[in-house]
Amino acid sequence: MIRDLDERGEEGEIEADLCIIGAGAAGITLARALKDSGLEIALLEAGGLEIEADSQEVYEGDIVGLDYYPIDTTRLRYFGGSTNHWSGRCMKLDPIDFEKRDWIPNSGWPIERDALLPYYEPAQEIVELEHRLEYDQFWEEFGIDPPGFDPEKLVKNVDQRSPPTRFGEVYREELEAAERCTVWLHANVLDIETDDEASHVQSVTVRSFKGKEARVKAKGFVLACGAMENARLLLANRKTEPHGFGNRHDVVGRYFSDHAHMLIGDIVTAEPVTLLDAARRQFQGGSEFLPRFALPDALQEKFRVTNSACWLVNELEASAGMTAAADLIERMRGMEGRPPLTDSAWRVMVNLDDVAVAAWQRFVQGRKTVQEVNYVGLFGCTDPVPNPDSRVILDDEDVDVFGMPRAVLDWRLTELDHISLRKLGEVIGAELARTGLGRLKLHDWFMEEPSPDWMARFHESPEAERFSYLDWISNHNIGTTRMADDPKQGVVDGDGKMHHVDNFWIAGSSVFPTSGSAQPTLTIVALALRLADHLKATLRA
Amino acid sequence: MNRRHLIKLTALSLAGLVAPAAGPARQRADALFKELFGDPGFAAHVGQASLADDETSGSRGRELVAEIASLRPPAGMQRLQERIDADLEALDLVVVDGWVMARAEADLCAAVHLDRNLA
Repeated sequence: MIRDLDERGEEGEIEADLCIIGAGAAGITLARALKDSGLEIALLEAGGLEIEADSQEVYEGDIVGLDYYPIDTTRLRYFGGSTNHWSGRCMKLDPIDFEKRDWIPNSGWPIERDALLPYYEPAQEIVELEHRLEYDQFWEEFGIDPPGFDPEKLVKNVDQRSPPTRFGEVYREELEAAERCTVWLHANVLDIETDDEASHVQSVTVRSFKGKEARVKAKGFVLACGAMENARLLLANRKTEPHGFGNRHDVVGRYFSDHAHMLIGDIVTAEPVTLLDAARRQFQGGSEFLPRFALPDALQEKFRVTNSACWLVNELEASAGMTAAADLIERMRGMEGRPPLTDSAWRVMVNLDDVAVAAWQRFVQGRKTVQEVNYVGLFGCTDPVPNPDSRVILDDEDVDVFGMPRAVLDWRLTELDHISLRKLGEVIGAELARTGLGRLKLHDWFMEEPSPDWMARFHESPEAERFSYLDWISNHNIGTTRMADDPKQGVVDGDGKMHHVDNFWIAGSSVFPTSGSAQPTLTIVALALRLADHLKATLRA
Repeated sequence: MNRRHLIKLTALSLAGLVAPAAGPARQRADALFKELFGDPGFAAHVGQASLADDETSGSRGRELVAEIASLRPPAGMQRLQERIDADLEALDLVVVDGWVMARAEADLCAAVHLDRNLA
């Protein structure tokens, strides 16, 4: 069922077997996976069912490191969390992303990819990827000749777009009907109460914006509020641990990362349509697929670089025939401001050949129609190097409506992030030349001396202005409560359980030690399913 | 070989990168590259940047031009294409002014720059 803390009539504590803090992708997935397990679940959502200014305002905070989007706009604080505005792009992590690589400081997960693999399939169902493809099926499925890149130089991957699934909308009815799961709206967690040794969580205190307060007691707790808010809640709880709950080794808030991604070069090609046809977004069965390129593991090791990725971007202009056809359709639908019907019909007639080609591609081959191409560029995406100096901290002078210090983001990149993307760009440039598909000119700002401040140079570059419509970060908040076997290196263990605490787990991308260049949501959901299995066994024992 | 002849030959070498054995895609893209680097001014500009990074680039370029010139035209062009392909295959690359090039290409541009200055 779904209840609002403000409308709670009864007094006393809320009791549950499991208290899940945060109703985003991870929290909702956990609740759904456990709702029929026999466990009594309380799912706490700080906001309401729709966006509310009071709730969103809690996310305000400063940025002191590299430029970043305002942190109260990159996340959403209501039922469904940031899935309410995610773009839906999904990709599994690669095996190498889990490995300890001696050339990448602090790399390596405490679990192998195989431990996660069984959960990716149901995770794909949860994010509604109806038409699922593995990488090597993509080209055949769409009848595309792949670019003839040497597989020893470049590997071809593909990411796929979910509808995107708005977890709060899609799974609301199911949770409303759940008998042993109660979603509490407007339940802002303020205090985490523990025993004297901070080794066992007894309860959490929640308060609504109208001042209604309650204590939630449970056998187990899962924190699932996203990387910035997880860190803020832990750092702000200093009753039993002076530097924040779970922070005895000063790891909470550290290793924050995001996928910086930006245009890094222009591709000069005599046949942009041929190039794009082989390496552009395609659509099938309601799904969108984007091919991308990365260095194979052996080259990553040889060059001592990360698993960054690149894909093509383009600017298109509709051909004369297709423009006329679009005008004609819109005019027939009664849209204002279109050329006269006869004019559009005439232009379609005289350009019938490109209309026919486009129609064939769209309706028979199921491919997106390639139009006139004005520009083709290479877009790069980092596999962020784990960096302890990139972090979320608190501003004790600036508090939210509940008196909790606001988050301050100090996002940083490293020289290796720059070097890695550059090496990938060079190999793509060589393969474009070798296969005759084109020539790559990397941008001037990108070719400057490798530096941790390389993103700042991008912001000052003419390309940042010219392509200002392209995002330069992904809003993938990662790290801050990372997994590691060693408590000095991570906040949680391989099961997501906080070190030194017997009944407190963390879910979401805040536990990722590294993130490859894959979008995190699919892995967030897969990890949540894995945690659900672990909790079933642990809490029912 | 006089300098003027050398410049002309180098520019033509760059302009003639279309190998007879290459397939259609290769011919299209290289035709575009030919347009860019077939202009000795542009090749010299790239060559200047190449020399700033590696001062031995010019002498290697001259040696390559001499080698090409010693062969009959089709064989010379084929030899050049092989050198470029080998560099691309081995990822023996030079990034000059942002252009990702085979080392042989950068060397040729450096030779163009040197010889234009001498001329």
